[in-house]
Amino acid sequence: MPERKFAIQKPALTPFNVVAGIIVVIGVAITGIRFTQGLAATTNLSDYNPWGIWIGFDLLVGVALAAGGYVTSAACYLFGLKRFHSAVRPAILTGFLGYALVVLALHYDVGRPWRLPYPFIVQSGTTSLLFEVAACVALYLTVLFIEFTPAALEWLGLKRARRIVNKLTLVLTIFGVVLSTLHQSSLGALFLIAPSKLHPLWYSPYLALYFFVSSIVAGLSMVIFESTLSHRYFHDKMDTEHLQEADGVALGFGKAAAFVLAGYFVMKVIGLAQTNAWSYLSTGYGLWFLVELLGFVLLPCYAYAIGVREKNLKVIRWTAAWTVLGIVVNRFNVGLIAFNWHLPSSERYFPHWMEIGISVFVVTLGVLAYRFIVTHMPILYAHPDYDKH
Amino acid sequence: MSISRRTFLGWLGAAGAGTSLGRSAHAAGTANFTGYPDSLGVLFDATRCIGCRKCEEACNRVNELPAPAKPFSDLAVLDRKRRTDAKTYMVINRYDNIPGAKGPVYRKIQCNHCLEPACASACFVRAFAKNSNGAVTYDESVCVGCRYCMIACPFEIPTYEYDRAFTPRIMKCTFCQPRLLKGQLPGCVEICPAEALTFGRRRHLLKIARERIGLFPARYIDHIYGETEMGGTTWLTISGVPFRELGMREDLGTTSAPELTKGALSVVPIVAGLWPVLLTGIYAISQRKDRIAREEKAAAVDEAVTRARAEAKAKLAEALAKADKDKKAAIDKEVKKALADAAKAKVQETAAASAAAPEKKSS
Amino acid sequence: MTHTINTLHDFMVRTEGITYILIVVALVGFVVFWRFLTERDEDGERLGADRPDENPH
Repeated sequence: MPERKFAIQKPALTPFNVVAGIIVVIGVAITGIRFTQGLAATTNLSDYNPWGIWIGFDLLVGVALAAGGYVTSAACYLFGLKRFHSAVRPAILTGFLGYALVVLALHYDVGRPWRLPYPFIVQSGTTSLLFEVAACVALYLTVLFIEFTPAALEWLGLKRARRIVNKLTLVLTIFGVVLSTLHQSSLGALFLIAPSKLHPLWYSPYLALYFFVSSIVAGLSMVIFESTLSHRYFHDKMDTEHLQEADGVALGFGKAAAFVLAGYFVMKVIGLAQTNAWSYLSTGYGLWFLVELLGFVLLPCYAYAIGVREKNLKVIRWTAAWTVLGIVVNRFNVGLIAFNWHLPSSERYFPHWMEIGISVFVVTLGVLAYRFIVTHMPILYAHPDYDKH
Repeated sequence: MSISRRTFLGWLGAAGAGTSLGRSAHAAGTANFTGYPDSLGVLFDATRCIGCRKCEEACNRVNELPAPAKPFSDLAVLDRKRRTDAKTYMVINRYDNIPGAKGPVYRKIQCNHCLEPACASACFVRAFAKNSNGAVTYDESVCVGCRYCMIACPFEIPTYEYDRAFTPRIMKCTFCQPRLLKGQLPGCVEICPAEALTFGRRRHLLKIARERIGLFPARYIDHIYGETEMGGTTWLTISGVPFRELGMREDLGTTSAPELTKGALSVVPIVAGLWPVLLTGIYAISQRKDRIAREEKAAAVDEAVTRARAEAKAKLAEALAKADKDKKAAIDKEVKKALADAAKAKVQETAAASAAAPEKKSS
Repeated sequence: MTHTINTLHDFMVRTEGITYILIVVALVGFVVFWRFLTERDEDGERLGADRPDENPH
C-alpha cells in the first residue's frame, strides 16, 4: 500500500496524510495514462469543446486565486500599508505555488507540453492574447520565485544572497503588479475573439477589466481565507507580529474587498447596459447570471461591509470563503458553462473523472508544498537572525 | 496600397502635414485592409448540390486521410448531422423538411479560409498562415497544442488529434494548397459532377454569385454567405433557403477576429507604460509621507526635549537664585545680626561710658 | 518596408511584434531612468535604496 509507505515516513498517520497520499497515488497513475495514451484517454475534450476544466479551473481559477501575491505586496510596499507586512510572505508563497501549479497543469492540457517555450524561442504569435498571457505568466512566475527566495535563503542561511534580493523588492513588486494587471485581464480578453460562442450575458467588451478587477477581489479574499486556515493548522508557527497583525489584515482586506466588489458590481451592471443584454435575464442563463451577480458579488460585498462595520472577524472569514467560491463560479461560467451555450446538450462538455482527478491532484500538491514550506521556512514568523521586518 | 506609402503618410499625418496631401483620412493609422487582391476562392451553390459525397471521397483521397468506417457511396451517412473531425477535412450534410424547399438541401462544410482568419489571430506561435492565394495553412512543426484556434474559429472548423499521445496535430482543410501550387484544382472542386462548386478569384466569384441571385431572384436568398461574415471568407455559399436552415450561423457579425482583439491588445503597452509611472508615484508619495511623519516625529521629540531642557534650566536657575537669595538673606541676617550686635555693644559701651561720666557731663 | 501588407492580421503581426520589443525596452528603461533620477537623493524615494532602518522583508 503506497499510503502505508507514506505513513512510515511520517509517523503521524493523520486522516489528512492518508487522503493526500491516496490522491497523490491516483494523480501519478492518471499522469502516466495522460502522457502515454494522450488526451483522448483521459479527457472528455472534443472538437466542439477544446478547453475543459484543465483550462477553466486550473488556469482561469488558479491564476485568479493566486492574485494575493501582487495585491498584498502592492498594499504593503507600494501603498505603504506596513501594518499588512506579516501577510506578505504567506501571500507571496501562495502566489508562487499557485502559478507554479498553473504551469504544471498546462503541461497536462496542451498537446505537446515540451513545446511550451516555443512562443518565446521559436516563433512568436504576438497577435494572440494567449501569447500575452503566456509571456506574463512565465515572467511573473519568475518574479514570484525571486520574491519568495528571501524565506528560502534565510532558511538556508545565505545572508549575502538575501541582501541582494531584498534590494530588488520594489522593482519586483512594481513588475509584479504590471504583469498581473496584464495577464489577469488578458485571461478574460482571451474570449473576446469568440463573441458567437460565449453567452451575451458574459461576453462583454469589458471582459478584460472584469477579470482584472475580480482578480483583486480574489487576491484579497484568498489572503483572508488562507490566513484562516493557517491559524487553524499552523498557529504554533506564527510569531507575535503575525498574530498581532492578523486581525487587522482581515479587517483591512475585508474593507478593501467590500469596496472593490462594489465597483465590480457597478461595472457588471453597466456592462449589461452597454451590450443591451437585459432581455437575456429572463432566461435560464439569465437566472444563473443573477445568481452569480447577486449571490456571489453583491451578497459578499454587503457581508464584508457588515463584518467590517461590526468588527466581526467570523463574518469576514466566511465571506472570504464565499467570495473565493464566487470567483470559481465566475471563471467556470466564462470558460465552460456560458461558453458554447449555443450547442445542443449532447455536444456540451462535462469533465472526465480523470480530468477532475488531475485538478484535485494539482491542488493537493499545492497544499502539501505549502505545508512543507510553512513548517520549514520563516513564512509565518520572522527569522530571528534578521531584522524585525 | 503599399505599407511604405501608408506608413509614410502616417508619419506625415502625425507631424501635422497630412492635410496637405489630401489623404489625411488614411494618415492617422486607421488602415483599412481589404485582403489579398488576387485571392482565390470557391463558391458553393447549395441549390446545385445533389449530396453525392463525391467531394468527400476526393478530399479523403488527395489529402491521404484514413479511410472512413462506411464507404463514401453509402448515403445513409447523411441521415446524421456531422462535422469536421481529425480524419475528415470536409463533410456534406443533408437538411430535410425545410419550409419552402421542394426536397432535401445539402450543404458543404469545410474551412472557409477567412480573409482575417481567427485561428491565425489566436495562435501564439503563428502556426497558421494566410497565404497570398487565399489559403489558410497550418504548420504542425511549431504547434504547441493549446487549441485556442478551435476556441477562436467561429465556424468550428479546426479539429484535434486527441488520440495521439506524442504528436497530436490540428487538422483542417488546406484549400488543397499543395495542389494549388502545382496548378491543380482542389480535390472537391475537381470532382464535383453537379458544378455546385465554382473555383476562381474571390472577386470574380462574388460577381458570379450576384449574377445568379440577380438572374434567379426567386431561386436564391439575396445574400452571399461569406462576403462579410467575420470580416469575409474566401469560400462563399449561396442558397435557396435561409442559411440558418443549413446550420449556418447568421449572427456572426462582420467584425473580423483581429478587430475583436485589437482593443485589448492595444491596452497592453499602455499598462506597461503607465503602471510603472503610477505605481512608482504612489510609492514615492507613501515614502514621502512616511519621511515627513518621521521628521515631524523627530521634530516633536526635539522640541519636547528642548522644552524640557529649558524648563529644567529655568528650574535650576530658579533654585540657584533661591539658594542665592537664601544665602544672601542668611548673610544679610548675619550681617544685620553682627551689626545689631555691634550696635548693641556700642550702645552698652556708650551707656557704660555715660554712666561712668555723668558728673563730667553734668559739671 | 517595400512589401505590401494586405491583411489586418499581417499588419498586427508587425505592429504587435514591435510593440512587445518596445515594452521590454520601456520597462528596463524605467528602472534605469528612476535610478538616474534619484541617484543623488540622500534618502527617501530611491528605488531599491538600501536603507538600514527599513528592511522590507
